[in-house]
Amino acid sequence: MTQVVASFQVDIEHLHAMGVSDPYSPASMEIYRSGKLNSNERLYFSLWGSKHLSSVSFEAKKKVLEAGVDIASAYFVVSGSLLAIQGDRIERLGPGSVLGLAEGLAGIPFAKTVVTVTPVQMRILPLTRLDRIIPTLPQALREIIRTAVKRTLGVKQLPEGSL
Amino acid sequence: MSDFETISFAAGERIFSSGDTADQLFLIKEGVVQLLDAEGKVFAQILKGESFGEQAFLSGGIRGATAQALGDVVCLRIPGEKANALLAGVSSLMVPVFEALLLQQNMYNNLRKPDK
Repeated sequence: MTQVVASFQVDIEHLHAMGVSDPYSPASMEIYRSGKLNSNERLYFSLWGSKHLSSVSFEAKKKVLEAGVDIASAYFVVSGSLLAIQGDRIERLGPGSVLGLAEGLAGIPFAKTVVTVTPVQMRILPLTRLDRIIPTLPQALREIIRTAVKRTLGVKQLPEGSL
Repeated sequence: MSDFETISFAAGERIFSSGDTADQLFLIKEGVVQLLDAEGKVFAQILKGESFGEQAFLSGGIRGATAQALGDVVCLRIPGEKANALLAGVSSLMVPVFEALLLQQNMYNNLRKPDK
């Protein structure tokens, strides 16, 4: 029987319990700066409030990404629940999940089909803009991105010509 | 990259520990660095030309892993403020991209462990 074998989400209930109700208010910023948030909570908070990313909403039971298809945009999940399906393996994804960024930067298709379970809010990371920016970055930043992409994907080499 | 300090670690030397403040990141010039989880289990090996400790991009970030030299290691050390200055000098879109990449890396590390 197919079942959920792994899951990931940032505990936004914990963020709310600490008093973080939005990414912009002085009270939320004070908690962010206090050092009380763990790394994933800090990353979630910062991406949640990023003014550089546009937003998109999906209804429940909609396909967000399809396995094997090239990725035009990557996504950061603000709220809601999704399933990522790869063969018999199913993962449950929640707030804080990032879809397709390392794959898009590496120029490889996404390996999973992702569908929403509930209504989902996301931020969009525009990969076509990154394609123009990355070649202009200082060498140190490009090396750091290359390493982070390889480590994320669990590969030793990236495709020829990527990054 | 010549304006960054070169720093050496002896075989077995701990470079940073889980729970430390993440205030610098490293690029390996020579050698291999192991990353260990909270139980002391090696979950990644970082090779010459690769970086580790990217959480230094987050002001106030905390190390989620321990880094240890496998053999003798030579690195370039990039203080967090210099890393942020590098980021500040490029497109503002790169800040959320770096943050999202770190979060995706944490997500995949988590998904590779089976649900308890």
